Amino acid sequence: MNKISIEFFGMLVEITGKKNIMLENIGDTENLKLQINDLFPAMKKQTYMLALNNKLITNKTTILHNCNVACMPPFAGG
Amino acid sequence: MLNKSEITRYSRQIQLSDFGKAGQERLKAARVVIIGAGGLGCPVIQYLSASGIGNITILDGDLVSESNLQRQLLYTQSDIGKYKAKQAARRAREINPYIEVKANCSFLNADLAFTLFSDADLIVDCTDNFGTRYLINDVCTLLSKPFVSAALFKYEGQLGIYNVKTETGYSANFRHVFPESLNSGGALDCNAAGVIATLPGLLGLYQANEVVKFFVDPSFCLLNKLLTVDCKRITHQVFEISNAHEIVKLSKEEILDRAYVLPCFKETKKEGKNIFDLLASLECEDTILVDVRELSEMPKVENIRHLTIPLSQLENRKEELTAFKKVVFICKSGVRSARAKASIEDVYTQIKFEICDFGAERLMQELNESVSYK
Repeated sequence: MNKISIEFFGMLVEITGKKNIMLENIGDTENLKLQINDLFPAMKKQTYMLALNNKLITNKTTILHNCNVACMPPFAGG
Repeated sequence: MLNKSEITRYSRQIQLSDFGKAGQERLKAARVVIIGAGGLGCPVIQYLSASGIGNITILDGDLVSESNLQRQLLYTQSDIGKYKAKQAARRAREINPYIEVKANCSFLNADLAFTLFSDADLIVDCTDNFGTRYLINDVCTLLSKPFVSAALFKYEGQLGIYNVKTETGYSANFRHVFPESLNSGGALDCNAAGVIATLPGLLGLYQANEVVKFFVDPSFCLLNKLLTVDCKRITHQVFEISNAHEIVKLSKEEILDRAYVLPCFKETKKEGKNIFDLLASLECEDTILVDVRELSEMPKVENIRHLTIPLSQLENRKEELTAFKKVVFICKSGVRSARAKASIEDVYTQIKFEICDFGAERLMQELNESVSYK
């Protein structure tokens, strides 16, 4: 089984009610977002970047087994 | 050249082997512009002044309010109602009489950014809204200026140093991390979301740290990296920015034409239009004032006919506005009102949408002082 860990940051922690979750058999980043939206419908309206193993990515990317994924929204406060 | 008193003053950092007098001279020669004198700006101003940055310009159009005092430690009770930039500059000179400090009591716009940044060696983004952050990024990127940016959410912070010249070009800029197409307008500032007092102190110190490193030895700076800090969980993570090689730069014409959503008015200064124009328009039952701040924000709008529809809920509640012919949006500094108007005016073309040209805090202050309106 292809297991990955997802970590949420900022407002996403409040929206999902979770800091970390585990998912299986995700495949790639586009499928990941679909799965997250299914689990947490409020996430559909949220904007965030993905990082795989602490590397921010901008294109569709394959997610390997044991990958650590971060969902990073932009912060505004100052 | 450092004089004898300066050498004594800075001795504790001069004695660091990779700092020395040469590093201190570089700080003295540095010209830094700090945009924002609030939660992040206060520790940045304190530590850059104390460290000996020779020329500092502080820009902020805001006034000190009581809710700032919990975390903006350059200010005291007696500063309430005064310009932050002026008070911060005064405190910076008290901290270090050997540096030059200028205050500009304005909100940043594109013209001002080009004027101020042209003579600067580095810009520090201590702002609290995306419009200004993207403006800073775009002007700095075009003018080839490095900048240090930080942002906060409750107990978490983000930080980066951007657009630093390297052997192979320039390091990543803010748009490499958060493309504007992400529609980042939903993110809340500290007034809306709340913030623990220590967080801006911590992130402001990290910003000052990057500034000092930049001038002394930029090889130690967080290039092509995003630092995140969680002061509740006590975790730090560094994320690599992998697309820095992509050119993401706007032209001057594009910047001047771009509709950055920027703060535009002062919160409590009694100038410009008074509230009586607003009250007069609300005499008509088909006109309504809509407060788009979050429910937790203070002061509450009271004693005036209004609806409270937080910007985050406007999409779901916009039907409530169809009962009116004119809607006046109000928020804290104009950013969210502008965003609310932009999001809805093409949907309901039969309604006239306006933005209140003062914030809720000023409205309630003046209402409490002079008018009781039901």
